[in-house]
Amino acid sequence: MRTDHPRHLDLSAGRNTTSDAIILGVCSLAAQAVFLRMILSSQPGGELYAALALGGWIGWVAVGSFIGKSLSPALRERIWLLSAIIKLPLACIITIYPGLFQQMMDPVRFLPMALIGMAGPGMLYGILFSLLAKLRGRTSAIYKFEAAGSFIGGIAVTVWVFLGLSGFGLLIILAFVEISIYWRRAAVTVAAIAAGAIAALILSSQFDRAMTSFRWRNFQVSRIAHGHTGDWIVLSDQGQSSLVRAGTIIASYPDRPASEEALLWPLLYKPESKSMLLIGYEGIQTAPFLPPGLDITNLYSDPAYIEILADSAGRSIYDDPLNFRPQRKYDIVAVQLHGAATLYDYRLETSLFFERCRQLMDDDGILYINAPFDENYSSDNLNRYIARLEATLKSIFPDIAVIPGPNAGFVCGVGAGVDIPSDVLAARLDTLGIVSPYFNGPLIANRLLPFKKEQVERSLNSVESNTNDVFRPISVLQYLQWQGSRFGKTAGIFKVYQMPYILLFIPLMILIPVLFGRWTQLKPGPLLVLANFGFMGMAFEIVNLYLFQIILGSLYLHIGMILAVFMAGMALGSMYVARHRILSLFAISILAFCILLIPLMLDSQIDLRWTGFLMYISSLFSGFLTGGGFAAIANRYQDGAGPWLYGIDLLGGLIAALFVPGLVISVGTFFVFYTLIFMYTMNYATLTFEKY
Amino acid sequence: MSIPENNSAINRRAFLRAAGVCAGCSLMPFGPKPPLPQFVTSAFADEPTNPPQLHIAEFYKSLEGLEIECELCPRKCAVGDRERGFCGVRENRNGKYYTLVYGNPCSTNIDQIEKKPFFHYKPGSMAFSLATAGCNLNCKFCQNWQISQFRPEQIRSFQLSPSQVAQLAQSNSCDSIAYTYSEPTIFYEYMCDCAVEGNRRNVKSALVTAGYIQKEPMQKLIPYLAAVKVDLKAFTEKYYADICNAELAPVLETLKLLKSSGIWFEIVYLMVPTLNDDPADIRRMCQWIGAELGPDVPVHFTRFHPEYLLKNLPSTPIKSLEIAYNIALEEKLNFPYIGNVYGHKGENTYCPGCKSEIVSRNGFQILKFDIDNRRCKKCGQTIPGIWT
Repeated sequence: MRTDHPRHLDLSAGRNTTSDAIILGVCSLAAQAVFLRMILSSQPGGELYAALALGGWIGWVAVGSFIGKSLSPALRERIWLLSAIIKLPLACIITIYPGLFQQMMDPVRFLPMALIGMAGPGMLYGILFSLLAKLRGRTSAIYKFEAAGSFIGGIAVTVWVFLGLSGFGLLIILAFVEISIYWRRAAVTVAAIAAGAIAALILSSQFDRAMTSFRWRNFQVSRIAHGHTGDWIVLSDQGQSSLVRAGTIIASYPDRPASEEALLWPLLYKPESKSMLLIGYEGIQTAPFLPPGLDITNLYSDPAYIEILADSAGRSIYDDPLNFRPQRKYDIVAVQLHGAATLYDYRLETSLFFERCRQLMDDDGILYINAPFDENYSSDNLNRYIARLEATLKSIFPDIAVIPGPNAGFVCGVGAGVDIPSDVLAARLDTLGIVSPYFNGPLIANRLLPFKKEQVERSLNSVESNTNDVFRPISVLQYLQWQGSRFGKTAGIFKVYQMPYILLFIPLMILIPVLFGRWTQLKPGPLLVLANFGFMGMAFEIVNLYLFQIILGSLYLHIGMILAVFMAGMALGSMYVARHRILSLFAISILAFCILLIPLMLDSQIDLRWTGFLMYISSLFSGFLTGGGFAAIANRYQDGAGPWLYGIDLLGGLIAALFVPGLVISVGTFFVFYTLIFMYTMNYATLTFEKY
Repeated sequence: MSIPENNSAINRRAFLRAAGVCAGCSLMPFGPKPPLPQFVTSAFADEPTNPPQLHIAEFYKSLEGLEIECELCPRKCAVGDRERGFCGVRENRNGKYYTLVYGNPCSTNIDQIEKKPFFHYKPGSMAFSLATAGCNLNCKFCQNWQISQFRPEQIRSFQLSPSQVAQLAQSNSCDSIAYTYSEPTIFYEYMCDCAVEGNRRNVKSALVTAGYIQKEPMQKLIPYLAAVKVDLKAFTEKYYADICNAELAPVLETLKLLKSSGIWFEIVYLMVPTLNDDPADIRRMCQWIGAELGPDVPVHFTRFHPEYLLKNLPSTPIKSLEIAYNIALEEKLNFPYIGNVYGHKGENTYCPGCKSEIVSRNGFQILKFDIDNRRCKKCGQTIPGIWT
């Protein structure tokens, strides 16, 4: 039986706190990443909410840290137990919450989910941190070991996601590990991991299906897959299927008209084709109406899509389209573009990609691009997008024809001309033996009406068009603005002219530490520095999250590693300061500018592995600064101040979580760098004043 | 809680350096700002190509001071000076109410009339379609939200006078001008003048509306029109309130008015899964249509596709549309249709007399047309509509 007797605590404190801190790091980061990924996957434009969810997490950790200050360390086993119990129910709430609304949630409705979902584990981990710090007597040591554990947790999550496993499974394992702490034996922990893995194997898919079915309770869930770019669900109803990603129906099939438009146009321009390469044709039904004998290859960028796809004709391959190097060539290369929500997709709109498409084509082959367009109203953004696409295609292909319609079709040829009259195209339907109630002569004639062609020309000429041969990681921000714009006033914060309100964070960053100092009777100067470190750490984390989504297009895959590398940086920073006692001002300024320069270099990089590496380095450095800064300030106080310091650090982070997305999404990364420079210099200055 | 002594005292140089940095930082937000790239400044809203043109609006009354009350739609917005109504396109300037979209369509296209959909009005003909920015509803499933949910200065429009509209329609062999995409009620004055110009050139006008309009303006408009299609969004006030930010009762009044005026009209019912596909509601609606409007009004049950704020609902199952279709037949409606499902037999017109297929359609195309002089070729039954 365990008691609060001091002798018991004295005997086990050192060993227990170290292992507890490491396990705390593993569990908290893994749980945080799983919850975050679940929240991001629950809604379209989930990235819009990434910072809110992160803010919810650290806000609750701060609350927990304060609560833990007044609790007895002997309670920690019970808190571990509670933490083990509540995670799965909370994950269930996150999964089903969006299903309670019949329309997509705006940020205001989303906020309760972020707060409730993150509340339990975040607060309990905060309490545990506080108790361990109290027991150990040195906050920075706990901070260091927790960060080291977090790195392990991040790697675990990344491997888990890469294998396409459900988040429920990982939460089950974490629950077993946390329960095992109650016995405090290494053998029990190892056995718990094994038992957890078996339980996860058996139960995770059951949880997954039960919760997904409840969320989509009016529809029948037929398949679920966890991919590198998000979660995919197939809803089936009376012979119809809907493909769901991020809580949004992205395709319904069979949708024969859409499929026919996407596939038959290129065939009409090259009716004698024997082979066809389809890139990005998710949700397109290929089997029923293509001529027999046509060899089809489907190329997908997420392996999960192949897993859930059962009725696509031809072979399906998982590869990066930009680096796809088959041994053969194709008569037709058809590309479905989705408006480049990420730079990963955006690369498929560059001259580099079109040049590679040309290499994949036979000498007289054609490239067909099915691009988003709206013939009723084409916005400036859309016009700019289409015009840039046309200009880029023209830089590679001598002949281009545009097909107006709900989507804009670009037909590009090298050898044969592509300016073919509508009646000739219509006649080729008979040659191909295609009889369709939808895709027929009148439709072809209507699509190619001179009035419609002129309209498209007008749209293309209404904006500047540049050849797209460089990367500009802005498209995802436009995408997020667009997501926000659908909710009208609620998301008005993402408008550029709301900037004065967003800049409110600057006075808040000064006011809060001052008030906090008066409340806790600590000197406000160091608190200001610490809040700044918290703010900077979170700001960099958010910028990194967005950059990963922009550059690599798979925040969902990398989220564990982003957080892990950041935490590793924190551990290193903490250890550095523990050894050298103080982080010099010179080191801070040099590191800060190094971090700021790294993302700016991304614009000129084209190899995603290299850019990914740079972003990890950026994440590591920002973690180093945050961890080092915290330890440097913590060293100056007596031991009892730890939870307060942790609290103000997290409050700074919370302010960043609330305001930085507004900056990033509204005006792009440039202004964020500007702001970060400003904040770092403030840090520099406040650290100087802190010495008084 | 005490703060331990710090052994590294700051020197004057460090203090001055830090103070200088602080001063510099505090000035940074007020310094010269780098120009924002165009893609940033206009990522939200398009660059307007024309400043809004002022044209005096109809249907409003003055209230106290400079305030006015709009009498165009049942919303009856009370609009203060320099303010706009809910639709965002009608503005009070010094006590006078103006429309900002007269002659400024943002969208034009040539569509088959079946796309609207009109199945009993000039089948197979083309319609010159146009719309302006704005709407007096806020439907969560709007397919044209990029224009309907924005103000005129937020999107790109162009100048097109009513006579130019009529001329364009005529030169592109369009039998009709269709006021569509957004809600035409909000560009009422422009629509009226286009209809007048069109009638001069023998180009008819077809209105595609939600029917959320006051009685008086509708009465005034009807003589200029040849046909009206009304979107009856649902048959419950709750749906109208929750999903469309509007009311059902005024729409029903509009339908009754159309019936009494004798103009040709058709009804479209967009079936949204789980929201308005309750068979009991559909039966009540069909009963109401049969009793108040007569059995000859075509009712199109169209398939919903995920759009705007309802992208979390899948497309309507065809079975649901067929249930609604059968309910309409059971309630003795003569011309129910299934829409947005290509090749479905519910797209065809069947003679109420001999039950034979008299108009065969595939999407927007007419494959067979067995109506002669408004009568079924087989049994001679009169088929209501405007067929030529």
